[in-house]
Amino acid sequence: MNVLANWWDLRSLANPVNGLLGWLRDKGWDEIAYIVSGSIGAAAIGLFLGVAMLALIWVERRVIARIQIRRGPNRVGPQGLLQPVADAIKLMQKESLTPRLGDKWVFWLAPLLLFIPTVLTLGVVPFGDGMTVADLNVGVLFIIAVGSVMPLVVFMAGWSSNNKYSLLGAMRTIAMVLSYELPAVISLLSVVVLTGSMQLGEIINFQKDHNTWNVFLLPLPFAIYLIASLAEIGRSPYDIAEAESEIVAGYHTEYSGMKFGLFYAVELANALIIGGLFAVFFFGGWWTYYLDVIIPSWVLFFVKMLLGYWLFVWARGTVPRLRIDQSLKFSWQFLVPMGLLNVVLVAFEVALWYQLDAPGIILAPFAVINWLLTAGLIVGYVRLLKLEHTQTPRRLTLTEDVGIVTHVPAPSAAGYSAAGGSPA
Amino acid sequence: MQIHSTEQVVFYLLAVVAVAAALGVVFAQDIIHSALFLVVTLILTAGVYVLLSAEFLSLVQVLVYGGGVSILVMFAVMITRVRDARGPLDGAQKPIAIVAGLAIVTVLVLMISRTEWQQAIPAVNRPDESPVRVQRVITQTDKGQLMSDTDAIGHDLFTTFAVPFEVASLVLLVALVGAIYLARGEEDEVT
Amino acid sequence: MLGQWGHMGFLVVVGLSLPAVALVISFLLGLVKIRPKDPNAIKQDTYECGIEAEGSAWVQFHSGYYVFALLFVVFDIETVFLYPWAVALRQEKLFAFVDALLFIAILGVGYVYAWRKRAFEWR
Repeated sequence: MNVLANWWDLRSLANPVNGLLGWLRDKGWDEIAYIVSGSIGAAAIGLFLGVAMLALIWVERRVIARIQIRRGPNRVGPQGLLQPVADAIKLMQKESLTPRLGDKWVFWLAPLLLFIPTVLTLGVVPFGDGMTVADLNVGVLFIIAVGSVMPLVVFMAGWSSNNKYSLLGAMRTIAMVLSYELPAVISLLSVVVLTGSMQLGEIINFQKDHNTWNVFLLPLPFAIYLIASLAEIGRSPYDIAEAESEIVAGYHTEYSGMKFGLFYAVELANALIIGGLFAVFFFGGWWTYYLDVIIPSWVLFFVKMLLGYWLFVWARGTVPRLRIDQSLKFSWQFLVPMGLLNVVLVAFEVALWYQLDAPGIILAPFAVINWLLTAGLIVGYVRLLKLEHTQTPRRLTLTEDVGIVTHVPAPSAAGYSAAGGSPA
Repeated sequence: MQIHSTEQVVFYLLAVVAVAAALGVVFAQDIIHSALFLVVTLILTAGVYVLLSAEFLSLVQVLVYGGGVSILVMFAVMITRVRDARGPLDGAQKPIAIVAGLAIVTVLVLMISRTEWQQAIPAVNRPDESPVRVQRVITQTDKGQLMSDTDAIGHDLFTTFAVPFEVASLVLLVALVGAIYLARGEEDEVT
Repeated sequence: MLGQWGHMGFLVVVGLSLPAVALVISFLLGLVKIRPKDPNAIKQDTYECGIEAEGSAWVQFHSGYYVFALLFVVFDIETVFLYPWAVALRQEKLFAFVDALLFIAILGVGYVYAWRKRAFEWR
């Protein structure tokens, strides 16, 4: 953070805030300055979440509609921009039912606690140069720890509903979230090994100092984190919680009205935050190769955040859902060992780098080596496991085109009686 | 009781709620409610660690107990048939449980009374004199900043505690093998 | 440093108040009769595709869930151990690397055991 920046320099919104705080401290009101800074940060994040969730509903519905060759909501307001507001009003008008046999206290508590992990995660995210509510020096671990409490809320929601779908959905969701949390933790470990700090500000500074984005050096952790975070926030292709065809709406089957709306909103917010974390860990955060001198750093960060979110919407629109046994096996037998191997590789490189006291340019050959090894590792591992690769047809093939599917006669009643009459 | 600082207010708030939740664990009728109260206690303990400037430890507490062990407890309850049993489950183990409980209380009381507590209560206001021991091992990084407990733990892991670090790995291995053996038994293996 | 954690306290308040505000608005709409509140036995019944719910929701779950939670806890602790190592790697260099390699290798044995025992498969 540039302390000498003028308060009107809006390339970082931290400047006007620091101006105000500096003025308060000059007056000797340290306590007031502290409370004001905390309140500004909290209010900013609250406002950001509120606006973001309304905006994201629109983005999500329009993009999904595009992918599915529909128009999507376009009647309420220009281009359907007011549709999220209409949705919110609709949800608020709906009757809110509480299942009679459920546990009323826990049932109400779950949606109330739902937002705490989300909001706390935002607390360590640098939205721009110096725009962090609290840049903890254990930031990465903080994100992981806070996120790991999410399954508890899911369990509370599922159990208190006293509904078979809810409970089954909650158990499945938790089993999957746990299994995918591990690859996420391991891939972030690679980032920490490389940057040597758990502070999100320092992670960005590392990328800035070495003129690189982490994704160039850590392609494999990026891929693992992408997959794992998709699963962790329960979005398709990992949305078994909401596998409508199997277990209705999963752990929030019994929630209606505004409480359902909260579950819906937090999913969107989480997706956006993961987009932001992508930007911080792998794409330099607000730092973008000198672009941040001209364009405000927070604008750059929001753009990257939205691009990450858009990736999730894209995945939701195009990738089919995985079965739970497939997704669990994939995590444990593929992502975890790959992630650990990558940690060892990166650690070796960093240890070598510091042992030799080499200049920072050594990162360039490391990047090339890492990309090659990643490709080799994936191919080799797939060979080792003898995974089958099935070619999906490029275009829809009708059975007539295939020409080999012959007509299979339906078993006639006579056939059955014949089979029944003469047991083989 | 003298109030020295905001930290103290926060501490008493955390402590009171944590103890109340701990009582909730014992007195709740529903076993899931007990488990949820337990989680509250564990997470608030993490808050106390933060007040002691042990950030890393507090986050590990949340991660391992709040996110891992609590779910383990929930799942353990879900796969058993506790719900069919109405009323207390202690049965014949009651006297043993009482003895075990009293033994733990004795050990804890002895430990608390024999510890030489530092008199510097508002240690939080002077972070360089934090009561956490590891922080005093090295307090400066090469950048001249105050060293966090994470750095201190990391440093200690490779100097003083290099062997215990490997032993921890062995303990985890034993836990893993034991858990799988209990859950899976002598079932079929991949060949 | 504690000041930063104090700011996290502010955020907990935000996290609680966001859903609370939404629920309070919803409740107030109920008071002015915009939101209907007309519960009856059928509406409040447990949803089960329209048929009457049979028995408790607490059906017998199979032990696979427990095994996965256990595996998660063990490997999670392992990874958490490696975080301070990752931060200290730059001071201790190759010695730290070898030390951690041993640590990971020992757990690798457990990983292979789990694999051979088919603990990673959902059955």
